[in-house]
Amino acid sequence: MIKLIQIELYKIFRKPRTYIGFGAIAFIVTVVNLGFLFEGEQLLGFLLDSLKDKFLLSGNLINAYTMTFVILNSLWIHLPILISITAGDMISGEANNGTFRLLLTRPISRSKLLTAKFFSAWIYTVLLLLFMISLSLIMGYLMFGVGDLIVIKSTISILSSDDTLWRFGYATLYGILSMTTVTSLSFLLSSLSENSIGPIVGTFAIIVGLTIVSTLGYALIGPAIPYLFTTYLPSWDLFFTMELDTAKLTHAIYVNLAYTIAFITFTFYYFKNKDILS
Amino acid sequence: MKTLRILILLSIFTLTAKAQDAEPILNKLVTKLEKVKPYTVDLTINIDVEFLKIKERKAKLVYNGPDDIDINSDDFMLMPKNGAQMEYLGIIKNRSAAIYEGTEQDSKGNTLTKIKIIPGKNKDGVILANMVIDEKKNRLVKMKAFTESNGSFISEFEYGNNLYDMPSKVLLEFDMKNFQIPAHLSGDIDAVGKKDATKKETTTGKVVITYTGYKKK
Repeated sequence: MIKLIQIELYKIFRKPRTYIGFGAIAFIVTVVNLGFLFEGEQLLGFLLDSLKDKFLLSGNLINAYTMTFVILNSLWIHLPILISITAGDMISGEANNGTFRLLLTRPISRSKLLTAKFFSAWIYTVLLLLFMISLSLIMGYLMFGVGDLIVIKSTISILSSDDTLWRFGYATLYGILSMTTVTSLSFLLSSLSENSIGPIVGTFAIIVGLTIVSTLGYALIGPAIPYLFTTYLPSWDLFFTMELDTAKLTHAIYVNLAYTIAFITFTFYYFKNKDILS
Repeated sequence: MKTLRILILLSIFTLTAKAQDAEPILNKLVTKLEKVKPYTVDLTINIDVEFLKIKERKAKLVYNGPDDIDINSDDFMLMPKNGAQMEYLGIIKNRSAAIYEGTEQDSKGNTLTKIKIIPGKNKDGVILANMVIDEKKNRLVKMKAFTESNGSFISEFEYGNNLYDMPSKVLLEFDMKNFQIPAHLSGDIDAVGKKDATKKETTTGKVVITYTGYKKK
């Protein structure tokens, strides 16, 4: 199995498109950091207007933690696209290249092949996420140093710098889980398709579509929203509230796990019974 | 007509008497506060504002004079603009009028003197201050100040056996603008499309500052 995963990883990292994700993340992280270097004080000043009337503020709120938090906020928007570029190609890419029949003549079961392909796509997902977080922290540290983290939502939370790293640790673990759900969706669509464009666009269309419908069509599908996996893509930020909402977090974890298992089970069932014609 | 004349005379007499009563109390307090030499003190700041979640902050205050106060902290810190420092000294010193308003009893049965002050110069934007002074101990106990453009604030002072008889605790209360931010801007997608009808335009902020370890500088 390890040999199979190594082969699949070799195939992934041999393709130039694999590096699009890492390049895009490096670009986004750099641009956001530079943006905050030049305009951060003004933006923060605008957001903290209510406080500045009554309080004298002192200290460094634009720092590595704040920058990483801001960058992680885009996680649920652009990371699924980058993941689907690779995960969506894992099965359909073989069909598209006409290499499946040749591959399946080898003495390995379809289950083993699928497992190796899924784990390889998952490793890519984890690497992409870790790259994003570590680059954000390192670049933020070099440009701004460390300090307290400000989280601006419907309220303003200011988390002490020594109360922050563990939150990023858990948020990363949660991010891995939610992006695993995206990977398994992409993987499922890849098994249904004969070309790579369908699963990539399909993954993104499902995520964006469900998010828009959840937001704008609240009255229509309100009761279903707590059970959609897209509702919980940004739930990593639950680790950045003063008191953790463990009930919501547990629900988010269960929903992600349920979808991941369902997507993978369906992929295995479908692929094992599929006629390979290419 | 005679009765009216007597009433006017009585009013003038009362007002003059009140003004005379307020001045020595304030002068005595100023004399005491002006004797305060530079010192340092550790601060613990607890902020209770509806839209702000922040844990207790620690800071160090360095007092070099009423208009030369430095506050340092390793963390991000919020310090109330009004009421937490010694701006009351400036208000008292630069008063254009002070009116004695009688007395009241505190919860321990001590008699406290109420004085209304109209600052002469626009000191810290304060246009009117109601002070409650413990005449016996020569301490400011409470102040409600009205500013020109920043609403009003209330400062309550608690004392212990501190250097220069400085306060151990200051409790502040003030009105402030509530925090409003579009959910799209904050990234709080849970809040998109939902309106919080209970959210008011203004809210009350409370700050408790505890002063410990006064040391001469």
